[in-house]
Amino acid sequence: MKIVCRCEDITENDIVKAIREGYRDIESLKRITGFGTGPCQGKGCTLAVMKILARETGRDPKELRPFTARTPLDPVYMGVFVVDRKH
Amino acid sequence: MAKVKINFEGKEIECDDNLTLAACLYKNGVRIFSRSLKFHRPRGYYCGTGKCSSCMMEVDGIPNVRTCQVKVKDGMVVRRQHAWPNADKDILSILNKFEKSLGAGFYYHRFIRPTFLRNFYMRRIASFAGLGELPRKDPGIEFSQETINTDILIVGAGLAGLSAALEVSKYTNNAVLVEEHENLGGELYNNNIMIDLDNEKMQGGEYIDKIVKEIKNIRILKNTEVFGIYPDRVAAQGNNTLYEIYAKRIILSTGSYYKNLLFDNNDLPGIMLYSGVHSLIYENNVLPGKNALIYGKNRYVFDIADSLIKKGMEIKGIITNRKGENFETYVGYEILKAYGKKNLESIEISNGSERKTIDCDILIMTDRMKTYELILQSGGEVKYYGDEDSYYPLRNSSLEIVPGIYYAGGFTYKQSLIEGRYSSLNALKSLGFNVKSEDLGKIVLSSIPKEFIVEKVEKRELIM
Repeated sequence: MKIVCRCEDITENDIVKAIREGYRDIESLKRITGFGTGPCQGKGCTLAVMKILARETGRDPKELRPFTARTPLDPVYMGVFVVDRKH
Repeated sequence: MAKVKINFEGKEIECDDNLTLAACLYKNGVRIFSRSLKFHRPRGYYCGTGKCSSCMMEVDGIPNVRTCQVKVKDGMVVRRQHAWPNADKDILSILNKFEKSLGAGFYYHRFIRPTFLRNFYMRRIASFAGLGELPRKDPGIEFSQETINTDILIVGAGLAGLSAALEVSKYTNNAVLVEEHENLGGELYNNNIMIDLDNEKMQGGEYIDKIVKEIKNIRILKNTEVFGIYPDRVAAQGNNTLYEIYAKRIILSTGSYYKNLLFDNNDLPGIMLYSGVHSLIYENNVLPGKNALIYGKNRYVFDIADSLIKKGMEIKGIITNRKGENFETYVGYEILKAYGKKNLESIEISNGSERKTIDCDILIMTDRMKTYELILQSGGEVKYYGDEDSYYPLRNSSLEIVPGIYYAGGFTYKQSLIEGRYSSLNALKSLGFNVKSEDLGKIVLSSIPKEFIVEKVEKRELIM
C-alpha cells in the first residue's frame, strides 16, 4: 500500500481512481477522497497528490496550485477561544 | 538532570526530564506510536515537529496530544488511542487486507441507504475509526488570551527568521518573533552539520547560538504556532494562550517541510523525515537507529550524512542523484518497497533493470519543500518550482508577497540568511527607518529565478 495521506489513510490507488472517475482538480479530489483533511491539514500530502494529478492528467505541475489553506493550520484547543479576555 | 517517571499503558517508564514525551518513549523502546485512522497500520516517530498525526496519544485524559511537542512531566499518564487490545498488537489491523473494498470515502458513498439505518452505520463505523475519545471530565487547563500590537511580526525562527530578527533588533524593540517549537534555529538548532556562510564553513548549531545571543530587546514567543492570518490580524496559539497579533509589517520565514516518498509500505515505523531524526538526536540526545539509509536529491545530503556519522550512526547508503566520495551512493535508483513487521528491516531499491535489497533500521528522507499555507492565507500566490520540487511564492523586488507582508526563505542556507536580512531591512524602511538595502538587494534578487519575481504584488480575495 502506498500511503499518500498518512492522517486519513488515503492511498495512491484512491487518488488515481478518483482522478479516473473525473475528479480532475485538487479541490474536488480533496472533497471526494478526504486527503488533507486530517490533523495535519495537508502538510505532507498536497504536493504528492498534485504530482499524481499532473502525471495522470498529463498537465504541467506549474498549472496546478494547492488547495485553499484554511485556518486553523494546526490543532488548536477550543478552550482558548472562550476565556474571559485579559488586556 | 532530574529523572521523571511516567505511566505508559500501566507500565512505569523512567527518563530524564528534559526530553519530549515521544523521545522518552522512543528511548524506552516504544516504536509503534499510534495506529492509522482507517487501516490500523502501525505508525512510528515520523516528523518530530508536530506536523503529522503519527505520534498522537492520550495524555492525562486529553486526546490527540502531539507527544513530540510536549515535555515529560512526573506522573503523566499516557495511553495510545484507537487500537484494540493495544497498539502493539491491534486486531483491527486485519482491515489492511480489505484495501480494495475500503476505498477513500467508502463510508459516506456506500453506507447511506436506507436512510433510517444511516445513523446506526455511522456509529458502528466510527467505533472502528477515528482518533481519540473525548475526555469524560474537565481536564482543568487554564486558558488565556492576549492582544499584541507591534510594528514587525516575524513568523518562524529558523535561519531566515533569526537573521531578520537580528536586523530588526538593531533599529527597534517593538517587534515580536514567534516560533512554534521550544528551540530557536529550526533544523539547525544544536546541529553539527557544516554549512558555508560568509565564505567559511562552520557548524550550523554554533552559528544559530551566535545570532540568538545577539538578538536583544525583541519579544520572543516560543512554543507558539501561528495558525491563521486574517485580513487585519494574525492568530497564534501557544502555552494555552491565544495571541491576537496586530502588526504593521509581517515577515513570513516559515521554512520547509520534509517530503514523504511514495513506495510500498512507506509508512512503516523507522521511516522518518530528517526533521524527526533532528529532533531525536539534537534536541533530545536519543539515537533513532544504528543502520541508516538516506534518501535525498538535495544539495546538503552528504553534509547531513557526515553530521549523522559524527553522532554515531552508520550510513548504509545514500540514494541520491550524484556520486559521493566517502559513501555508498545509489545513483538512478528509486525505492520500491519497505519490508518489516513492526519496524523497518530492509528496503528494496531498483534502477529499472537491477534490484537491490539493503538492510537498515531507519530510512531518512531529506528532501524539502517550502511551506505555503500562510502565504496563501495572506492573499499571496505560490507557484510550483520544478528544479527544487517545491512551491515558491511570487514576490516583488523587495520580497513582498502582498503589500506589507514579506516572505524570506531560500533553498540554500546562505540565501535564507540574506533574504531574512533583506526583507527586514525593507520592512524597516517602509516604516520610516533610515536603512539602506540596495546593495544587499542585488545579491538577493540575483539568486531568485526570474519567474518568481513580479513587478507588482496585490492581495487576492480570500475564500475562507
